[in-house]
Amino acid sequence: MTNNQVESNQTEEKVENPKVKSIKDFYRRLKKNKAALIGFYTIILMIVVSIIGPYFTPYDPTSTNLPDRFQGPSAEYWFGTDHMGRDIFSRIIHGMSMTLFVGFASVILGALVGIPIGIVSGYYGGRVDSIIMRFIDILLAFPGILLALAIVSILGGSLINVTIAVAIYAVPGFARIIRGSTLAAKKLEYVDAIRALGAGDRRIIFKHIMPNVLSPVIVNATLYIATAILTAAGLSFLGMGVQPPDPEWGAMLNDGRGYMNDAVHITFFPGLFIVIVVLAFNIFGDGLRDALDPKMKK
Amino acid sequence: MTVFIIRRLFQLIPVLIGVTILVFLMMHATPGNPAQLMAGENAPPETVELIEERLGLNDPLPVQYFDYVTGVIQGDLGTSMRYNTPVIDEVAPRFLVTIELAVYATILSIFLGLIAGIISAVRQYSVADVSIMIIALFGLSMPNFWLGLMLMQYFAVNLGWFPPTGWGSPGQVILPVITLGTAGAAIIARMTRSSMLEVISQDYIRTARAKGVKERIIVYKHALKNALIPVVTVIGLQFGALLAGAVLTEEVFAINGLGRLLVDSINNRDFPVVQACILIISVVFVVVNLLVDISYKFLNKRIDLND
Repeated sequence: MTNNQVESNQTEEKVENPKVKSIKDFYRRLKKNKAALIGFYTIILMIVVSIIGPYFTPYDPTSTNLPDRFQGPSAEYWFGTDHMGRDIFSRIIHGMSMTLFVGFASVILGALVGIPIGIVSGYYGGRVDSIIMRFIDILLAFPGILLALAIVSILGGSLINVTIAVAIYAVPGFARIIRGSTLAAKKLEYVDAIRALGAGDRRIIFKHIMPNVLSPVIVNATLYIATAILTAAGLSFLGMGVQPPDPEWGAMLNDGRGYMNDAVHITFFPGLFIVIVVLAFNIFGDGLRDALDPKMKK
Repeated sequence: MTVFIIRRLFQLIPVLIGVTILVFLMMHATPGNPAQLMAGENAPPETVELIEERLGLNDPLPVQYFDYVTGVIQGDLGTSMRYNTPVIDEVAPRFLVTIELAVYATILSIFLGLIAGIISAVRQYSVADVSIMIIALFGLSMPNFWLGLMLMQYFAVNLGWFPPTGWGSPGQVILPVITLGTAGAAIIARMTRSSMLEVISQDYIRTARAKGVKERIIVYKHALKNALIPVVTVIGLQFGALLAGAVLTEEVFAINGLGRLLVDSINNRDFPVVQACILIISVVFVVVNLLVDISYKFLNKRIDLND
């Protein structure tokens, strides 16, 4: 039964070359994982919707219409209206770009800072490494949303500040992962060979270490986007992120909290969309890990 | 073993110093003069100066930091600007509530996560496995504040099974603990599954099977013991995530814990309290991770403690 499957998986792993040769090769591997492919297409669809969607929404996301407030979902208002009579469907479509922006921007920012730190730490080792890693340990001592919350409480709530806070929160994670991969890549025989041929540190780092650490970066970045979106929504929910009347999903949830008894749809739909977006990134990230890093395949 | 514990305790010191420096600097990075905030906007400059003097705000930064740390070690976390009471009096009772919430949620997530993960691994690719993994993915992807609001609306308001808010009675505990524990359960289930699968495919399990050892003994005695090692790390990290996640859960269920105090204090710019909450949560997190490290020793004799 299950043993055979486990074994067949393992033989497959041995045959598969862990290094991805091209985008085409990558896509071929991704295609094997149906769930990951669904996640990938959902993300593409959401990006498209966030760009062109706002031009097609039936209502303005911020214009209030008090006579029509607390309407349940109907043909006129697909997801109903909120306490100010604003169309929730239109607000969700307009809010999508904010959610994706926080996700992508904070992770890119976090990676841009975290990757060089991790590479320097792993490549040069020694005292540099221990100093950097102690500092990373300190940042990691603030669990979960706490660090982001502390940063936003200093900077004040806005889309950009939330992005910065979530980015800082992502830095230690990236640095650690990249340090580990750099340590592994540094020990590869061909790196020694290249060094013996007279290649300098910069050449080795950019041409030979970087490509080797790219896979874990991409996988973790994807999964971090999911976490970043949840963290940002949480900050907005606490009233410390994006401020009303902007249609940020976490802020919309916070708006609807006071009216749960009469109109649960005000909180239900924005939350549902957070779940869909985060789920898409999680599924895609899982699939990427299987495709890019066969060793991790369980 | 004792040497290992002492060494790990010493390694804790730089991290704790770093944490206190960061928390201390955070307070200084916040805009506005705390003395002015305490005195009120229209206070005469003399009053502000007096408070500055009393708070030691005119001292050089390292001196202020030293005073701060000396205070913290002696249990003095400053004075709340809002209530004008010692911060420790505000923080202590609420800290117990948050710890209670986080501990219950951790127990729930370990319990659910381990059972689900083991079932998934033992019956890989079965309907049960696929369902558990799909549910776990959803659990991982749900904002816990949204889950909390939905649970509260349905089970507390519509069905009336539980009180919707507060903390203390058994009825009040159930929904917040489910809310907070779900993501952790999902993560532990996924970790347990992959760790179990890895162990099950190893030679010594095959040998045990070949010897004719009963499948149940293989799973629970041989495989689970080794599969648990990476799971324990995740549990340690999860406890920290739960402490932080409690901020949102407490907000949803109006529980007067540390998290809610933190959010209230940020909104009221009561920085000594903010500082104390952040400090306490991270110190607890660091200590829990130390305990997790030590518990490795008991789980796996192969780990080289000198490493």
